[in-house]
Amino acid sequence: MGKTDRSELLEYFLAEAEDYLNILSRGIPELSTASDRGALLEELFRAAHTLKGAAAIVKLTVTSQLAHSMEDILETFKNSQLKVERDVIDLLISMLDAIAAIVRDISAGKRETEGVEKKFTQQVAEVLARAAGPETVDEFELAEAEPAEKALLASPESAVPVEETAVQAAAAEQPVSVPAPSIPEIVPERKEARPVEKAEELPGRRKDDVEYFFGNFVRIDLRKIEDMFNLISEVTIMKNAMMKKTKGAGEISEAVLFAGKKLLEEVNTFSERHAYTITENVKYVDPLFSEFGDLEFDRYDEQNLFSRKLQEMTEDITEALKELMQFYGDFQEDIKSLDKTVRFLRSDLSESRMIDIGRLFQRFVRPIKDLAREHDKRIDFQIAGQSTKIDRVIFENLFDPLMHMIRNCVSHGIERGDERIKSGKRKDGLISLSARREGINIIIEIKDDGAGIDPNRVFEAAVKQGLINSDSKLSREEILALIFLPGFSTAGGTDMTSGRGVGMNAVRRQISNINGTLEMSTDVGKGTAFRIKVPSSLAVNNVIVFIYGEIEFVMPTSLIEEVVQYEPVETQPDDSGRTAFLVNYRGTPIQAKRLSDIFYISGNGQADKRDNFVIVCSISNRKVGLVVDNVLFQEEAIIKPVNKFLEGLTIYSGVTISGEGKVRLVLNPLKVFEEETRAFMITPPEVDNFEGRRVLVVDDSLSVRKYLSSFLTVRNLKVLAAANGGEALKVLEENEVDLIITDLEMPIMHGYELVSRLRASRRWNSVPIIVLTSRSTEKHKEKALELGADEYLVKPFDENNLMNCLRKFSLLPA
Amino acid sequence: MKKEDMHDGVKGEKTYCVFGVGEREFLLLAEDVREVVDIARIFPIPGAPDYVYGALPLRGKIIPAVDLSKIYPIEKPSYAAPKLLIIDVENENIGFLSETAPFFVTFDDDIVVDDLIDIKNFFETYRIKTMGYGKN
Repeated sequence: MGKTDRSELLEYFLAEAEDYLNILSRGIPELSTASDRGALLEELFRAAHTLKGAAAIVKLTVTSQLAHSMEDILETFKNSQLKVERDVIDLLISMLDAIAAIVRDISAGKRETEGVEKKFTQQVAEVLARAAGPETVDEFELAEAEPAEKALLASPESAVPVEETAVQAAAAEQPVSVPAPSIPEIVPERKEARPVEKAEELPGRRKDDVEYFFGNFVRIDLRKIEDMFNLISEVTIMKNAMMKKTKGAGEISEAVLFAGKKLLEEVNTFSERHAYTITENVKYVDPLFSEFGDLEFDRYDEQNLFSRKLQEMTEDITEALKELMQFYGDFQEDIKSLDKTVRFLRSDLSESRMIDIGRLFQRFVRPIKDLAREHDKRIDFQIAGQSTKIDRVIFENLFDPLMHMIRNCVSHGIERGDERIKSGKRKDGLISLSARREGINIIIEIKDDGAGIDPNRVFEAAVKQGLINSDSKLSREEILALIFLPGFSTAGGTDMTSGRGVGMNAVRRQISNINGTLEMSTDVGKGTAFRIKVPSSLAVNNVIVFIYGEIEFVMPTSLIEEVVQYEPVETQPDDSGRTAFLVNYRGTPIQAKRLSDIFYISGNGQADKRDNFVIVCSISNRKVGLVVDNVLFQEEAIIKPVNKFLEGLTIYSGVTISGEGKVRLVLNPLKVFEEETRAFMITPPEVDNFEGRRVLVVDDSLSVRKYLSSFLTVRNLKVLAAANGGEALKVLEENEVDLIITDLEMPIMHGYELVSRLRASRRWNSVPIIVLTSRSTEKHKEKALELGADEYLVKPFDENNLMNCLRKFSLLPA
Repeated sequence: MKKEDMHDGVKGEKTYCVFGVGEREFLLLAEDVREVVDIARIFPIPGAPDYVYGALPLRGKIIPAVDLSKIYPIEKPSYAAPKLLIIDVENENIGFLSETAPFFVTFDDDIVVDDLIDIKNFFETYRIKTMGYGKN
């Protein structure tokens, strides 16, 4: 067995630690009020114990020691040697905070801070000494009781001051119960699995271990799932290529079937005429039936026999064609079935990244309690929709913005108890956090019943901070949207929770990074509500595919309000001489942008035409429009994160690969409309791809066509082929080409005629023509050049000469 | 390519991948090169600096293609039949455009080669970190 990489072990530890920290973080504050304190203690003890062991394995000694001390204290609770008192809970919380800080450092690639555990040594020793005192045990009189009975006997009201139970008590009153433990109780389903109840009997093995070993769960690194997604998208591309080829095969089958039917008809007609007709030129008469007349015995001449053979062969061909069609039909069904399976696979894999949002919501219980205490406020915290499933990546990215908004609710939104009573409200403020699924999106709402946001105050603050002029004429919505500007703050000073100028702008940016939107509504004196809309899965999204300047982009439909026909609104230049670019959206002018306003790309040359489209998005309650050349279609796509090498290009929130293997960038409208653009000194790409220039090869020899095709294709030229001049003209009717290489001697239409027709055509009179022939006489050459050929090469040709010609006609770089 | 003896001692060997852009040749440590692919098509990335020629999909991943001629003083390459060297770096993949089919060479490990690209350093230096994009 190879040596295990420590960094790999650390990753496992971090994944595990998060779960245990969640359990401890949620459970410790509940110790004072839990109805089944015995079960809770058991769970907390187990979490601390496992955390200790896991930390020791990865040599995080400080973490291990801290967890060990927590375990000791919890054990004294468990054994009823210690009363659940405020100071002990505070000590546990402080130790938990210290472990959480270390885990954050480890996640960030830092080392464990040494000596942290020593800060707690004295306090832990005091608590444990207290537990060792006989009076403590006597006071509770619980020593003989079972955990559940202990919990019943221990009255929470008697143990914990009322003001400290506000959050939990309030939560308990709500229709939705306090969140369930993060690790579900796992009962093995298979008969051969060892019963979980037996776990305790296994020496040295905890119940969790048994659940892992005998349950149906495994931990998987998210990157593994990401890799699987990559492979699925690759399979999708291959499947689509097969579907395209199948379509081509179908067309060929139909053409063959059509030709076969025609052949059959001809053969049948021929057979009817010749199957039994005896010509007068029968040269051989079988002596065996010489006595029979023509009508008495069928006689067959060679033509008759040939006709019959033809008929038989045609029937064989017809049979084979039927089988071919049957095969094609079955093959098409198989491809459809593959398509369906790939979709299921993608969907199942997407599901595997989903977790209950309740686990995220649980993380806010304690911070709200701490913040409420810090601000001397009483707050009820309600949670709803905990079982709503959400993508793990979105889950992780939602914590910071939600935390920020919750802090705002506590510090700015909810008033103090006395103020609330004066306003005729309940003394306890209310903050609710809910989640629900709407189609492919998840809606998260944070509401408070606090003071609301006063537009006048927002306006004054914005003027004071130089964000707007004092004489600016803004609507109520526009004023409220100012809170999303970078640097905006209404907080007078800086404290732990506000006034740092990174406010709602950062929140909105974080949400937009996961293709989400943020809207706000507020009512002065009644409260504020924030509505976050994020896709339920970051991996699979519905997107609109649009084109601008021949480049295909996508945008998640969750960010799009509507797509409308482009209709510009005439505007006058403002005082600074700038003219706003506005488009009409349902009778209202809205701000618009083209991508050429940001990048060095130009539209399709039809910019500002009525057949352009406008993708209308809502950004912080404001409608804006992105003008694009064309909207192609809507599809389901796997959105991948932008490569780390390009991550500074925040205008893109991801990348998709189309079924045909095209790279499409996911445009983030927030960045298009609201972020400042700073320039790289870049130049537009001179060549956007290596293929594109087209050459038509006209030659009746398949070998020559194949050879030239291969020669040109490896030089990234696209090749069209025709077997004679007539076919060449048909190809040219439907295709643009940059060069024609033609033979002279060909059936149906020879090269001279082709050249002269092309030179007589207005469309093709300037396309370069190279004659490539085996005729080496000057006479042939002169005639070709006289008719309009540009170059004359003789077979077998020197590749360098052809290369020089390609360079001369700019099909290859000089 | 220039080689210099650095010091005596027990000699091991190092294998390098050599690729060409314009008139210059660059080297990469062979272990950094995951694979070499032919390019059918590269898709532009509006807003990226000019040394990012574009990106292409490879087994479900998007690989940015770096054009070293925009970083080093090299005559404009033709990239007539370009190859892309796929590099593993920082748990990501990037690609270097090459005009020629790359080949491998092995030198004693005490030999210092010129034009060796330190891939980690390159990634850190040229990774797009700026928040801005596009033009003014």
